[in-house]
Amino acid sequence: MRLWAYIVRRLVLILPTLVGVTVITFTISRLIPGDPIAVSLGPYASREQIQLMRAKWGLDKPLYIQYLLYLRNLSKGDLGVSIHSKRAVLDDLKDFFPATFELTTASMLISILFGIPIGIIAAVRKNRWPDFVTRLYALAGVSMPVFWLGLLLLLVFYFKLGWLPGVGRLDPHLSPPTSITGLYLVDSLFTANWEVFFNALKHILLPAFSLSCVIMATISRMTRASMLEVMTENYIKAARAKGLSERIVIYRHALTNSLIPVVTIIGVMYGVCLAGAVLTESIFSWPGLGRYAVKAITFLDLDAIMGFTLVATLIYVFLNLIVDVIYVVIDPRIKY
Amino acid sequence: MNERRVILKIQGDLKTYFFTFDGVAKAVDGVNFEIAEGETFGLVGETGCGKSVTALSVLRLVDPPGRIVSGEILFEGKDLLRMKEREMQKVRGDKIGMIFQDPMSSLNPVMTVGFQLKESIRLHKGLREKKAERLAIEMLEQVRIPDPSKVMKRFPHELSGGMQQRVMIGIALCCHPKLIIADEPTTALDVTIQAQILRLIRDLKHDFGSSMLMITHNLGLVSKYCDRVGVMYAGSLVEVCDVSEVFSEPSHPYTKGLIEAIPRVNAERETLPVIAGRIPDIINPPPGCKFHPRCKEAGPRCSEEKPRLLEAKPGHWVACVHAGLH
Amino acid sequence: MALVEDQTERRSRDWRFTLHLIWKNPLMVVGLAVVCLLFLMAIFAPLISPHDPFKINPPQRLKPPSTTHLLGTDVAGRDIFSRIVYGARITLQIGITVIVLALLIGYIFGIMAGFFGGAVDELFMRITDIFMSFPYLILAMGLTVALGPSIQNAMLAMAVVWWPTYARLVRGEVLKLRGRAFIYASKGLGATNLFIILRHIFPNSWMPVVVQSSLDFGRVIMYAASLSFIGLGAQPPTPEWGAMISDGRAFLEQAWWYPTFPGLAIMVTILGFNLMGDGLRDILDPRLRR
Repeated sequence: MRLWAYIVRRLVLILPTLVGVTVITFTISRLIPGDPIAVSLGPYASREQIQLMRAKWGLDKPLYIQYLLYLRNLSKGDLGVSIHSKRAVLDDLKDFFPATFELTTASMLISILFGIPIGIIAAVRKNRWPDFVTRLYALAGVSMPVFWLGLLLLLVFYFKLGWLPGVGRLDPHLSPPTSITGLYLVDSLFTANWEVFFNALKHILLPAFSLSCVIMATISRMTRASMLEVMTENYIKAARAKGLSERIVIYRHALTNSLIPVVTIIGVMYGVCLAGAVLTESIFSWPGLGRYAVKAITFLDLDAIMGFTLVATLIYVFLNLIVDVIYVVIDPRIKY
Repeated sequence: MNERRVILKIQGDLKTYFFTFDGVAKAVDGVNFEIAEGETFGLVGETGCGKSVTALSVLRLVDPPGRIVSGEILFEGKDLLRMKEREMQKVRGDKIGMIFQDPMSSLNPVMTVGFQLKESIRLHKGLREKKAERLAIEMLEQVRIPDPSKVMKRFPHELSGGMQQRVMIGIALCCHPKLIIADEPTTALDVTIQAQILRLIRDLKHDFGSSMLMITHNLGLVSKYCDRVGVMYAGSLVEVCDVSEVFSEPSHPYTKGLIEAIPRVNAERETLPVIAGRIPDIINPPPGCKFHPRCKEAGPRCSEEKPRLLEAKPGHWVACVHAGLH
Repeated sequence: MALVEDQTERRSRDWRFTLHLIWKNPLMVVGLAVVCLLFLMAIFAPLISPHDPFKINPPQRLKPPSTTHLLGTDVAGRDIFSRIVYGARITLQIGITVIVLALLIGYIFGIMAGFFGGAVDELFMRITDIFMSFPYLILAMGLTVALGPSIQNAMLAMAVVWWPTYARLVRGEVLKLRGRAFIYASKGLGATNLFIILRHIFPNSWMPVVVQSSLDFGRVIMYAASLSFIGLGAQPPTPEWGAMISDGRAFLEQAWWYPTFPGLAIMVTILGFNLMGDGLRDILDPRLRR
């Protein structure tokens, strides 16, 4: 019961931040030099269209009225119209969201499932070769541009070896599974559509892996540092004094404590993941929000870009909130 | 003098060294003593004299860069230092139980008290959940914690310092160990709680028929709760004797200095006599007797030969060339 | 007399310990070497590069690495190696500009918030909160698009998105200092706020901030390259490494060297800065010294 009260409290506290976020996106969209409406509608807009848009966005009115109109439009889900697709930006975003969600979630899962054990091993075998290799990898991973890694993987595994596909979510001759969640892997599992499932799996492997490399490096570093700190604590010595095997001391006593700080950076990592998705999707022609944003940039499609920025930020903010709540729940020392 | 069974015998000059950047710190530099069945042996000394490291060495819990370099630790006849780690794990928590100094940091903050207690019980007794739960509650009752079934579900930070230490004692003693190692068990607690905890430890030790190695810097505690005393200085034992004799006939100059420095209610003196100087660097200790730079009775031999612990009187051992030995 | 000896002894021990840490940390030396190499490359670019990075040479387009063109040529026949060398200049320019700008803005706001506290601080916290709610690259992207894609705008955008981090750091340092006795003493002697800020707060707070910024250098380079890759930063024909990867992307299959080598340059550079920054932090961290 108290947990719900905490969640509600946090949500309320987030509101001013969200408002601030809209202020910034609004300011940015008004920054462009020249007539924003003309730019937004593109060079082939007619007079009437321009007039209509002017009225809707209230460009002749003072700035704060414009902002309020902006907020009103937002609340109705109106994020503007994309120059390129000629559709409402919101519809575009809804279409492309599942692909990005699938990619980022897969990447995060890979990063966590591999990153944490790697960090543990590095901490436990400190200064011996597994530690050395892990730290090297962590350093390299953090230094590699994610788009460059994607290109390299594409070069090796697609162009040179031909083991994995390099474009899109599915082979062109296959049609996507019945849409329940929009996530091909999940949907095809639910409908027992094995051909599609394995094909989708092959397609997601390269982009998810290249996206996860950087994050995995950071997570393993963080896990290692956290484990090392926890291992020096008194309660670890006391646990050993009880006669517990080293394995139990590490996995039950040390790990449970050291994972707590790691959870807190998962939220930040997701932000990195989102940003990385923008780059990765364009390399692998993954039809998600990221590629949409990059196309929008090429066309200077301001509404689309701002819409994307707003939505991506919203997702990021809520994800951090979820992570905060999880953190509060798993650490018994924190009262809520 | 009763010929009681010897539970713990440290012999062969126990040496635990720390190999650091600045040099080798000889934290325990040749220590030998024994503890008989049912006896409470107090290991006394200033901070940094090596008493805690000695205790940790018994359980082989010394972390790198520390290492036990030489010696034998015979527990019920078997040398702990030659055991395989698996065997040692069976001894820890079961045959030898350790009570740590700061209970708050010695209990895992994310696990309930009950879980940590049951963990020991299940590990060494192989019991199932229900039985372990019952035994755990009984143990909490034995350490005089009120409302034990509620406390089982609490986390360490929700308890007071005294309660935490009781839990710690419960965990250390739940398998009725033959030897209890208590490392400054009350130093981190309020003065008012200290006496309660010490009495509790003494009572339980008596009930279980255990021996105890008590580490402390407080001579007052030693006088009340210990049978025999070992005085440590800079990694070596300088005097070992019965507790009464350490107060009535201290033989080593360091011990004498310690006893004299105890404030007495009925004293006529106005200034408290202190031992001049500071404790030596354990990386580069003074040659010969480590205490000689501060010793009032130091002579020419003291800077040349390192005095060995010899039996000056039956049951009274001193490491000093001036202690009237034959 | 004993005290003086103690101090000099300690200082020589400190030096020995620092050297010991450096020796134990060979990677940091590697990082330092890489960074120095980068600076040298940037400064002596005209002397090092064998060809003119801007000279178009269509007959030589997309040639693999050879003795004349060490790292091959790009789609316009330009020597990739020379372009990478000149790209070092741009990389350094971007990194230094963004960080200096962010530091300046961040410092001013951070000091104000930390020193004056109260409503000013509250406002500051709200504003930085909002800025920090955005995923970094995404906000930088949006801002650069709005301002118009160019390298200057990209740098401006990055600085604008980065300053809250430094501002918060500075604020933290200022808060730590504010409660110290010598600040009160200074005030008691009649010093004005400005004097205290310039004379006391600033000199004592810049250290951790500078250390942090050296750690950040790598990240700034990464973001700059990413922005250029999507077409927002450096514009052609500027030989910025991220832009070069973007150009080379289409030719991945037939001219693998085209996007690969610029990327390698980026990675080695960032690695160098990260190693150096890590090592620096290890040395300066008081906890790790004992």
